[in-house]
Amino acid sequence: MSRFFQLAGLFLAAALVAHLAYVLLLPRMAANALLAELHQDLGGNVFHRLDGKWLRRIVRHPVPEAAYGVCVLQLKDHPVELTGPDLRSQWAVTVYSPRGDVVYAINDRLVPEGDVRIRFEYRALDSSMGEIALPKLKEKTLVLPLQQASALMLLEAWPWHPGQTPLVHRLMKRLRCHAVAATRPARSWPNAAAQKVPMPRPRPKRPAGVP
Amino acid sequence: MLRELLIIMNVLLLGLIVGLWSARMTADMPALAGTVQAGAWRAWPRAGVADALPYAHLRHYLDDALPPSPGDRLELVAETDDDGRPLSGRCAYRLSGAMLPVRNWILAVHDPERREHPLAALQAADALYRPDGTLHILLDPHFQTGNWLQTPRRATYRLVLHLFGISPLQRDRILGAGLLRITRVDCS
Repeated sequence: MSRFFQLAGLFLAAALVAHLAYVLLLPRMAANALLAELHQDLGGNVFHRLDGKWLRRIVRHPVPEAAYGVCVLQLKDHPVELTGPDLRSQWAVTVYSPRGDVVYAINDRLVPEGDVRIRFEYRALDSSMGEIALPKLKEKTLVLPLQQASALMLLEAWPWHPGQTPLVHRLMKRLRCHAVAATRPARSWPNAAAQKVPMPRPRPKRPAGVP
Repeated sequence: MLRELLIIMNVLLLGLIVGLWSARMTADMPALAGTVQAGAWRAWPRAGVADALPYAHLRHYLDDALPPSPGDRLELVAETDDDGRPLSGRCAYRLSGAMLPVRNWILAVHDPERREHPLAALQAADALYRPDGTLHILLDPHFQTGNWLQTPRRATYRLVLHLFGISPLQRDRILGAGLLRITRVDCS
């Protein structure tokens, strides 16, 4: 009889481990793999309009007439800015962590009117010490601190009316995602001047015709 | 000894299979996946939120998609009419009721098998409202006057209602406010 209970315990332990591993690890691994694949295919800190394969892969139910774009944020060495003209539409920026969680969900009503200027900054904070970093508005730039050195930014813009679709798509083409020089807050040395980090070298331009 | 080892291996393998199967099944359970149902419409208002149950995340990744943004919008999906029958291209349906007080909305017909842009869509700016503020939308493969969405002939489809401009406080309660009812009109 005790043999039966031993085997039943073994069975339950194996089932529990498999269940938890699947539930907890699969979303994390899938999101990580997606981020790595996107980085390899599209590059880091480059804004890409989504179409075809990647649109189908990332957005379950695309909104008709909407324009989509992504940028794989690589923030370890320098902040990254999303800049571009006023999209003259409703738009939303969603930042996904490598674990697949949504870190930020921003929309056009949360930023100043006019050109799009959002800065993503990496801040390694110790939350156990009560450190928090909050988004803030610096001049006309929305600064979003992230605790992840890499993340995925998805931008969606949908026109108020189908007639505006070409305009929104045209404006979306002018959006840029690019690394910028950092003015790092000197957390350990409160009186030290902000440290300037040299600008990264610009990425080579893609040949014409390559999306 | 070898027999003993084989028994243990079989028990472990069976346990792993049952564990994986139960995880897959549990991800489809509305309560754990964070599914909210209102009539024929289903929504996942807490999808993507860091403190949502892990099954809610799992559900989206099993669909091989990122969870929709939990910002100021909500995506509602209907695959059946209010009586629970699958939406079919052989039938015509009427959607009726008051639209929720949102900034904008888009109703789209999607092919459930293919992840493409919708087959047809109607958005707030193009809709015709009745004098009392309610909406009547016809889903039919054949041309209709008024608010009409063309549906695929002889195939099942999925309706997706995108709501924009919902405050986070409104989000959880909005489904209780009543949504468009989906009524089958006739079938050919």
